[in-house]
Amino acid sequence: MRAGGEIFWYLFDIWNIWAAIVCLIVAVWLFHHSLKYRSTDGSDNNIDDFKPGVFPRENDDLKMELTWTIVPFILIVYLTYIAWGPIDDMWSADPDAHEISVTGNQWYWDFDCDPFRGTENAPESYLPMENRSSAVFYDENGILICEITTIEVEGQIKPMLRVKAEQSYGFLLTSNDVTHAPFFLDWGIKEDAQPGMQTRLYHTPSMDEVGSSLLMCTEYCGKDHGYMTAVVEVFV
Amino acid sequence: MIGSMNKSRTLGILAILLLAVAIAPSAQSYPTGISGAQDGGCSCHGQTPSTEVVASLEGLPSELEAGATYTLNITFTGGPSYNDNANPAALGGFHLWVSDGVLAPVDEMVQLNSDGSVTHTGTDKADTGMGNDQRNWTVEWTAPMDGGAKFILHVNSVNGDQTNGGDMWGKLTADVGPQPAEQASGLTVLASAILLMVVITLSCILWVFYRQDPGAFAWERFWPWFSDYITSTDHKKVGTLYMVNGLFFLGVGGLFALIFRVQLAVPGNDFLTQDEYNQFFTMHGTTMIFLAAMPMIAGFANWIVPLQIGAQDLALPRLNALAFWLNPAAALLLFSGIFSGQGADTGWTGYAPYIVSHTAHSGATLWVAGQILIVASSTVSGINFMTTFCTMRAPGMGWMHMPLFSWSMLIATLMLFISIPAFGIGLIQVLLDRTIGTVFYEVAAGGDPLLWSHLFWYFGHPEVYVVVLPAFGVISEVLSTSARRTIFGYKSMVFALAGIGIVGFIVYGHHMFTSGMSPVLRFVTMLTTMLVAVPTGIKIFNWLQTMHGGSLVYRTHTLWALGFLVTFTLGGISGMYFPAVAMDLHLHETYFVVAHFHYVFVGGIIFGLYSGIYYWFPKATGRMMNEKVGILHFMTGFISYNLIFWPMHRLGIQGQARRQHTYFITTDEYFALPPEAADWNMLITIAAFMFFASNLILVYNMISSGLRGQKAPSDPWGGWSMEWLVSSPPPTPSHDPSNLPVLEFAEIHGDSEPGFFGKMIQWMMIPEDGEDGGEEE
Amino acid sequence: MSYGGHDDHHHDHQHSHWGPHDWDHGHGGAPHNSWAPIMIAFGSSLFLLGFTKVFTQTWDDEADLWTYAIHSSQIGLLIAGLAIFSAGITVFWRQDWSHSGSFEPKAVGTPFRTIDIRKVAIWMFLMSEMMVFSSLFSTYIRYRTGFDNCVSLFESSIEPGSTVVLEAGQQCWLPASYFIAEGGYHQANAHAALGFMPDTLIPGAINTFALIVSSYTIVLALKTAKDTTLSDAERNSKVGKYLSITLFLATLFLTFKLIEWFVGFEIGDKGDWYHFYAPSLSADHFTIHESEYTYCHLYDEAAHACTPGNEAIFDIRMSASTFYVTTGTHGVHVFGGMVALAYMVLKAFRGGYTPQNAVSIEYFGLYWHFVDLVWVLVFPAFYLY
Repeated sequence: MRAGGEIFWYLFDIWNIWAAIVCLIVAVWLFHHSLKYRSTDGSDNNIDDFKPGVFPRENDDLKMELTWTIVPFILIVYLTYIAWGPIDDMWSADPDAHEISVTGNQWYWDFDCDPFRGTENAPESYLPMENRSSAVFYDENGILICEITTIEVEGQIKPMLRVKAEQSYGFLLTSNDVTHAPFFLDWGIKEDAQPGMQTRLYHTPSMDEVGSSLLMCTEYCGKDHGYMTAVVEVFV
Repeated sequence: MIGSMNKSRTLGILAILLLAVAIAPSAQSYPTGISGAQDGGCSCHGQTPSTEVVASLEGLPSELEAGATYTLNITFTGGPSYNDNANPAALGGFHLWVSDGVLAPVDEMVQLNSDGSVTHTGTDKADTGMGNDQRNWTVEWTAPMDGGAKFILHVNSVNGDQTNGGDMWGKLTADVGPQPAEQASGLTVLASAILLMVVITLSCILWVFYRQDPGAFAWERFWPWFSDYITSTDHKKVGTLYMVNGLFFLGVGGLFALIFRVQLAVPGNDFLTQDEYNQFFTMHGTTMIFLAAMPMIAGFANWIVPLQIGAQDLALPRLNALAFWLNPAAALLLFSGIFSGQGADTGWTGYAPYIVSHTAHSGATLWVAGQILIVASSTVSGINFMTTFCTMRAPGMGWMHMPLFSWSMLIATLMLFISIPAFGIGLIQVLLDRTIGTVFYEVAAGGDPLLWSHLFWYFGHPEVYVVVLPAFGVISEVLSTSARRTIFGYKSMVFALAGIGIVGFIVYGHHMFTSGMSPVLRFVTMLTTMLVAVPTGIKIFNWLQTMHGGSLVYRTHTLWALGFLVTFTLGGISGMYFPAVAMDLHLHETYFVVAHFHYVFVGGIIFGLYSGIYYWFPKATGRMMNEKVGILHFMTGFISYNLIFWPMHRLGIQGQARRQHTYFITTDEYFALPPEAADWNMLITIAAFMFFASNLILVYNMISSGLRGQKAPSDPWGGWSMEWLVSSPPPTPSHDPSNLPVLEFAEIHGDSEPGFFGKMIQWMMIPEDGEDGGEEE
Repeated sequence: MSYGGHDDHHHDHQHSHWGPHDWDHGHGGAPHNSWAPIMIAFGSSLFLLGFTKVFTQTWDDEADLWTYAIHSSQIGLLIAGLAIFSAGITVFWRQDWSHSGSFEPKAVGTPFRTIDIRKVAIWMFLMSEMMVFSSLFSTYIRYRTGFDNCVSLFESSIEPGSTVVLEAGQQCWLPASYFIAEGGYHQANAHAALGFMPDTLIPGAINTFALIVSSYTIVLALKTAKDTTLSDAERNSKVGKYLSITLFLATLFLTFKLIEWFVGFEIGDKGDWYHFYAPSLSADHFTIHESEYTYCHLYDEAAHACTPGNEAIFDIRMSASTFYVTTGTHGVHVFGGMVALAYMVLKAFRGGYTPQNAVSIEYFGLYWHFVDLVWVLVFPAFYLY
């Protein structure tokens, strides 16, 4: 298992290739020029006739300058185009997603598997059923979709959120006091949980993501910020 | 007679220094430390410790025998386990930690933890042990071969209703054998180190005063000399004050970093408490940006800009001094919080609503007040520099003839003083929220946390360009002079600077990709952020091409400039990972971000400024700097710097989050950071100490070369700009106002006439009436 | 650290670091040493330290809210800071006192060639001031557009004639204009005998007028100071008078502002035909701590109470916060102008302004016009809308 989701690694690999190419160009250029055009005898060859108080003669080449304006620009356009697609995947709301509410508190996480229980703003597809509570949620076919238990993390009892692989989930994020941000380490996504606001995060855990990983707080929230953890388990 | 008196005084100062070193408490940490969890409680149920539950630990010897094994009995009394226990099956638990020696379980009621501590069995569902159905347990402890040990025991009294409610816990500590010296708290270490730095700085000032003219040394002359400096409005002296202030706080900011790097060296460390850690990273960021980088840049600008554009001084000298003195005045406020033990713990971004919440330390109020003075300082110096650039360029120097350092300062100043009022107003709102009780960020009254983020980053992002652009300027000057070539593409350099300046205002949303800001804004700022790469790329390629056909002279400042090209390219490229929103969702607030902005801040700004120090030091002091020591500084600095920040990229991708007191390593139960993260963190800590030490070489070099270096000619490197016209050190006023230099040209320029906008502005300007029209023509 | 080499300019003649500066001699004219910067800087630092001490607030864990208190015993620090700050300003101005206009640095570079440097500087300063007020206004716009108006919230969420009182502490926007322009202040202060809702727009209207007139008088002062046809004595007294009028109008502005905020006013006695009573905004409970403002939708004048069922409790702190901080920031600017004016009045009567250095009045005037202009924006946004 490794941190970061599929989309992250897909983009990351492309970016790495281009970063390596640019770095290579700069490195070769830098080493070549700084060695080839060094003052071999250590003496001061005043090539452009610098004199204090005299604006030196020009040194430019419009074609070259245009080249390294336009070529990087094309690269940027290309990279932007690649980065564009996944945004839609991450932000477009899935109406069939199972909603789980995540509430930040100083300094612990509250999960709710069934946030629409007893409220009026549930989505149309939502059917109240008997065997659901804030800690456990079964779908219409009686299959476990979401469960909350506890686990010991470094000597502290922490909540553990269990979700099913290949199910679409929507996380409703909010906070009761200050800004927090759940970081789903294994999925490579995070979003701020702001007080007085509701933000959203969508994810469908894949079969590759089966297992448990840490959930951290990644928006600084005070004293025990570093210990505001939980565990997320994806089961089959 | 006088000479011997001086000697005794010098010895006295040295003795005071030694004393200061001696009384500074020794900083000693337990190598493995105790799990950070101990501070927030234990693995126990219930929120707060209870006096009702009394733990006891029996079997410890009064005289410790090295290597012997002892049987320890752990029991407790009190709490719900004794009083109102409805379910006698669940009685309690314990956790015993020892600083040295080996703990071992005796029976199946006790298990050994991975960190060497022991706890009861049956801690979760998978564990079938009955250890949590007991009130007493037995363990064996083998004493270490030398020294004593410290025990920390937590016991838990449980009512057995399967929830945490109503459970209680208690704590007991016990020492046996000889104890190591008491561990100094992080704050004490910091306070002692800063005190030491103050003492050393003051001693340096005295020493510099003494060494200037040892023959005529007299204490009566000290105060006039000193007060001349602190009341001076001369741009060179104010520049010196800025530099001293900036370098001092660069050291202080480094101390913060070192102290919390010790905390982060190993996972689960408790060298610092959470409170201390949070204050230290807050003050590290604040100090480095506002009290180190900005004053150093202002120091360069003060020193060089008037010399370079051919002015006698800055436009508003007294306001210039005011802008400087607001910095130490702000530092007093920023630091008084931390020394009262309640320093700001908000992060340098001071995000609302945490900063107005009651959980933030009371020192956050002082932090905000100090920042307001910083804003005032930046505004005043911004007005001053803008006026200077607009009005005091030497005759013949059009806009497109300004040296690139001046250009970069012009763009930086413009960006700074257009953006910083937004920050200032945000700070005033927060200050009023925290003092008189307005509700701008009070969520209960409808306050919007994102408003602060917008006001802050509207300033905060231009701010990073404000600090990096002057470094660009320095590099342009240094590379051009060292390569003996005109900077390649002067005009495209200026347009790139201006482009960064304009686009820099509309990219700030990339700091808020995960904040719940509107998706449209996120998308727009993603595009603009990508776009910033283009002008930055132009600059890098132009610098590289400047060397073409040149005759590069390797000096220390050249090395720092080439080092800058390497590190800044890396920092710029790692910055390109963030505007791709889908990647940013993973990388935001991780060490990848930390690595990126340190590559830009240290590898970009600090390297650029170091290059500038070596480049302009002869001009400022009239003494050449020691090249050998300088190269040693570069080699050690460059290597240790990369050792610190390069591994951070990897840690960030692995998911180590910033601003966290400690980090967790993967266990069987869950996936966190891979175990190698601990090794990388240890490497980073060691390299951080090396980097700090390498910077002391610079300080040594500056002082010793400033006093004993070779005399510098007026143009030691063969540069063309006007600062090389005047003698080293420059006279006062820097250029003779009655005989200002006139910029000449190596080639005939077609564009010495004002351009379209120049004509527009001139047309709008009503010339001052009276006798003086055209006097300066 | 060791830039000692340029210690070489020992003063040709004694400059005072504290007091009047000899502008016509010395290096380029401007003072080379001054205690003012260091005093102003540390004075303001001390002042802010005192300010945070006086207004240190404590969190009430039981009630889960802040308890606001003023720790007046800590005021010494604040006053000391202010004193050092003022002393620094005094030193600054003592050095300026002798500025006769013979030393007025002019721009060398294009495009401002031959323009006074100070003039460019003041425009630069106004540029950053513009950003200050832009930030305040963007805060205002963010919250104004993000909140429901209390009146429409009440109208849309309550059944007519029903006795349901809205949930306590709902956040909504009761603009200052509700109290000021519409006269819809708290029913406790309504005066049944009047038969109409008195209007407290009067202080704001007078203030607007005062500021506009003061912009005119400062121009008159400049015009007079530049007038070479007048004799010195005549000019001094006229410039002094115009500046005094400007100072008086500025004082009037702040006085009315304080009346409007804290004092209120009453003309005549109850029952007189000309009786007029206008309570202050704070007496009307329009304050930054008003989390439970009792809003009355329909006032029953006969019963001197709110008509049953037309009452609601609202949290109006945000509206008050933006109002007091924005107008307060403007007020601070006016106060800063007053301090400068006081200095200028003093200097003018002593013959400090001649046609040679009359531009100083112009530069102050630029700032003063700006403050005036900001008021012209603040007034409709906060008092009328």
